[in-house]
Amino acid sequence: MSPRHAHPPRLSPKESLIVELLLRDAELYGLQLVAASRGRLKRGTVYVTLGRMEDKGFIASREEAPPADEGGLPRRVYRVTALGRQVYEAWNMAAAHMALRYAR
Amino acid sequence: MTRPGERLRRLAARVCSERPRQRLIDPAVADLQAEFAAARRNGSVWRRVRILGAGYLSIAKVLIIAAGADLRESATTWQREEASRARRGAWVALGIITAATVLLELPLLGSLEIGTGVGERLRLATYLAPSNLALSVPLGLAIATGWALHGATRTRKVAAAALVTAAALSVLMFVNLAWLTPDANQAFRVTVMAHHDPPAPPPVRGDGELRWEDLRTRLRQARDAADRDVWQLETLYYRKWSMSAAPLAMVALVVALAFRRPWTRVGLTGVVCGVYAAYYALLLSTFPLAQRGVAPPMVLEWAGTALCLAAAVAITSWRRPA
Repeated sequence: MSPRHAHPPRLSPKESLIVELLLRDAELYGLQLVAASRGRLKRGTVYVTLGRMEDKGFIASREEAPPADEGGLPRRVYRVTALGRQVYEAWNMAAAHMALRYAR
Repeated sequence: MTRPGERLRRLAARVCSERPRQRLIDPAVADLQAEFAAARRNGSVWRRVRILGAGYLSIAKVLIIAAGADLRESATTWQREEASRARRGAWVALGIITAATVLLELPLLGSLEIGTGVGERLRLATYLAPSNLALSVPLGLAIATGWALHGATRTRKVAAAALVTAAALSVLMFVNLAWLTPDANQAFRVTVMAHHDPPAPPPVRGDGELRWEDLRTRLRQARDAADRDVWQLETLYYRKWSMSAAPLAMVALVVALAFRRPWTRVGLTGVVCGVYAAYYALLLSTFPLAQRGVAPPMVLEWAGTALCLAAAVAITSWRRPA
């Protein structure tokens, strides 16, 4: 196990939401994630969360080609990695298990 | 035409390293530019204004977070020269703050016509110190920052340390101006009155001796009663805010100037003293200007500090000539 994953990977509620949105739509820009979250993600912090998730290996990103007609910076588009999907599924499974256990 | 966000990107190039810039700032700016371009094609003017406002605010927030993270990362790896400059800067700041605080006290202490001993005068000097710190701290910090950042070997780490120190002192300054200074001023007045012959009763707190919560209450009452002297309370109220932010504004301006071009130590100190003199002159003029109703007290009191901050941002994001 690499030092980065010496502890079991964790997903914060915001990270979980981002993975959920990316699993639904495959690839999204930061601003599209904010719009799709219906107010649960803020545009002032979403890029920081995305950067952190990329460091953890939960998501990957690529730069698109710069817009041909108006110029400007190339946009960065994000997608879930296999690790991100696994952690999300494991996290949800654990949450469902706990909910079931405490419901008894 | 400059695309939206380009100025903040240039600012980011000065305050962040390459990785957070590429990973955090550029995606935010790219999204803003795309959103703005779409609104220009088929949106109203108000929609464009709203997009720009929200976009700039969010990028500024990302910039602060990225710069903070950068600082945390680099805080543990100081070169010997950087540490030495920071240490020297701290001593210079301490020396100037102490000297300026004492010098500001001497005229008032010298003019007291009461027969007190050395110990008693020292006690009175201690009571005067908090109010003078509001003037001496921005000056000391600004000059010390100039000393630490002169020449071509200035580094971002020293600048960041100066900015963090200034931010922390700005918070402490608010505590000082809101609670400590009013109490110290009142203690000074009570001590002086007690030395009168025959001893006078302790004076009632004036507007300048009101603690923060009392000042706010008095201000609210004056506004409700449409008191014609409400401007005096408003001046005091906004002055406490603006003077608290002064250490950060001054240091931000010195850092911006230092990174614009290499300065000699004397040159940068001279510019800093000039800026401080202008700030002080503006501060002295706000009371008569507010009395004459030239502008609202909030505008007048914030003018000096806001000008320093605006100049710092403008200088930092100004494009260098090719």
